[in-house]
Amino acid sequence: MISIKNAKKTYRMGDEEIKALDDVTFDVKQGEFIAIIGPSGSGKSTLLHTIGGLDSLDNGSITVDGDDLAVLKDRDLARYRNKTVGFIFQNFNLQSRYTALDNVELGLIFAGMPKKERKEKARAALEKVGLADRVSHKPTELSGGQQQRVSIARAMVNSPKVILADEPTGNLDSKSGEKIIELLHDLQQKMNVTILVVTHDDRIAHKADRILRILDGKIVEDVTNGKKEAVKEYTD
Amino acid sequence: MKFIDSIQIAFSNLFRQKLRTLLTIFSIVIGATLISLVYAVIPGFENFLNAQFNSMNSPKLIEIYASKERPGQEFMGSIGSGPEEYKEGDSGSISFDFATFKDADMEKISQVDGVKKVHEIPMPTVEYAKMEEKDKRLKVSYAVYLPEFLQENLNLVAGEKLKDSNSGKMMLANQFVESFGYSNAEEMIGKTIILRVKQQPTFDAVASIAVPSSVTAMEEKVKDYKFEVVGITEKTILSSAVYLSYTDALEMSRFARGSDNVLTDKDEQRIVAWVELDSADRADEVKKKIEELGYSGMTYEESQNILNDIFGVLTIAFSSFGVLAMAVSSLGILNTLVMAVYERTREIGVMKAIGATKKTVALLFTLEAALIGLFGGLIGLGLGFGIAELLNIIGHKTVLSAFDTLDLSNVSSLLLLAPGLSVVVATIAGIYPAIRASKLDPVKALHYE
Ligand SMILES: Nc1ncnc2c1ncn2[C@@H]1O[C@H](COP(=O)(O)OP(=O)(O)O)[C@@H](O)[C@H]1O
Ligand SMILES: [Mg+2]
Repeated sequence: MISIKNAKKTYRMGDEEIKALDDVTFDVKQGEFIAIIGPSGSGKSTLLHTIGGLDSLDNGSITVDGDDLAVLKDRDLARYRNKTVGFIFQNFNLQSRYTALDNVELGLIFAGMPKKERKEKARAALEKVGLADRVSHKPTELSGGQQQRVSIARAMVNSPKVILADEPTGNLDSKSGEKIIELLHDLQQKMNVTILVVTHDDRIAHKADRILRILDGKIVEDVTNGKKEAVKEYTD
Repeated sequence: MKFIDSIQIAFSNLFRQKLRTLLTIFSIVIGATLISLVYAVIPGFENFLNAQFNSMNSPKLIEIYASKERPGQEFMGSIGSGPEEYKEGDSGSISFDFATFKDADMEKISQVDGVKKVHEIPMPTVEYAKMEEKDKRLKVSYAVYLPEFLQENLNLVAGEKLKDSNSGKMMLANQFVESFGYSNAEEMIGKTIILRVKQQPTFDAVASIAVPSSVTAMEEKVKDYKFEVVGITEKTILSSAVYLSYTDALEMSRFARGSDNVLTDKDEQRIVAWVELDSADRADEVKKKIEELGYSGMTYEESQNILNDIFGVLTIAFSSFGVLAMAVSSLGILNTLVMAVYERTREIGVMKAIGATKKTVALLFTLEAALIGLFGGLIGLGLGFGIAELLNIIGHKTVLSAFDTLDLSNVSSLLLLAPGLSVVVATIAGIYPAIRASKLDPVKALHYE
């Protein structure tokens, strides 16, 4: 499903070179739930951004569902972000003047979907995340957990193959976080979506099929289901 | 993304900063109002004056002058051009050529192929006009012989047109009807009007008397001429004009000037005449022939062009103020949109993350600019036209009351110019912010605070 080969990304800050991704190689199977852990500044977000087509590599390649992202032009890259992947951010990134429904609908507007159809789809997505009675609420009228659920609805409304979540519970209390984790697993199971979650949250890491630990832009540990206990000490 | 959705999003984006948007729109309203006002008022004036011009004119007319250069032409020609070389016989400063027509000249011109008739226009000075049955006396600004061919486009409100042979009959301007106290123009048809002419000897007449002391002692001589009213013209800018036959006008002129020389070889004021053509198509050709004989002339088309040129210059001059105002307001639009791009940086990042192309982002900002232009332009059109309408109403109640056909709030497709131009100007101003927004790095934008 996802194949990353020798991915390199370097940022230059004055004289200093920061290797955000340093020769990263790994494959992801369809429907896998992967937790990406590691200390702050280790390159986790950079990894998600490059997989999501928001950022490009300096070297190496990322192939998602047969598409080599490096060769996609703006138009195709936009379609890729629209149809193949869905983003979930720590700070939700909802548009504050839009209702929950409008926020979820926006990606479908970019996809050129007719109004009636997209309203139905957006409403259905909000129902799935348990916000059927909050469709006309604006983000400021929703709790943090509810806002994040809106952003999950936004990420999945166009039935993507991959969900990329960057610390989705980072801004939430543990109870709301729990609900988000449940939702993500639900998505994985019901829709066979591939999920990559950057997290500091043990609960997420422990429920994942696989844990990738990153340090200074390198994958230093790749643990699949069953060996989770070994990882526990690395989460911070 | 569907275009209708882009417009909807751009429209809702526009009103996020209501005050700022309104101020930006207002800035372009000023220019659009000015331009709309110009295009409502000036064509109205132009149509009116053209109609007036045509009401006593004909494409078959060439106005001819006895001099080689049209009076005033030398002066006009000297504007802007450098000094000319002096030739023997020239006078140093701008001179006026006082060449006059003689009977022989008239004969020569009538022989030119294409000329139907050469008309001379006696214009007696009239002291006043008075109905035979009433005491009220009214001033006459303009008493003139009006040949039949110049009446082609003249509309009457009552009676019939004056024939060249209608000695003892007259036509007059509609304004007399009310001034004489009639409610209906028809009532005046067939009535008798007296025109009083006062003798005001011109210098040649006085000189022929040759006794200076007798000039001051000369008693006032007046003569009354009686006419039957045959026609009333519609209201024109010549609001107190009367129209006479050739023979009557000539006789009155001779009496007024106290001289039988009027329109003879001795007449020193016989400098202009009106050529009636067989056909309007031949105007240029006939004019050329007449000029080859040593006279000058101006065709109907040329005089109409002069009028049109004047309005063309006026239109450009006034509307360029509006264009200038718009150009200035484009800076305001640019500023507003650059600010909007800053404010919406994170939002632009989100849009890109969920599938907006660069083109979509650019389109949204460009449309926002275009909408500012459209609203500004439409409001400007409304205001400009409203002001024109107001001028029209106030004008017609006051100074312009006599001119029903003068429409200062003229409706034409030219009115679309202001909204069109403001959309174009605003859209151009939106290009830079739009490109800037589309080029934002989504990752940086998503983390922008
Ligand atoms: N746009 C950027 N310019 C410069 N350095 C950057 C930029 N983005 C990320 N970095 C650096 O790259 C490294 C990895 O960042 P990031 O992927 O955000 O780490 P994480 O998400 O694991 O905290 C960090 O050292 C960060 O400072
Ligand atoms: Mg991060």
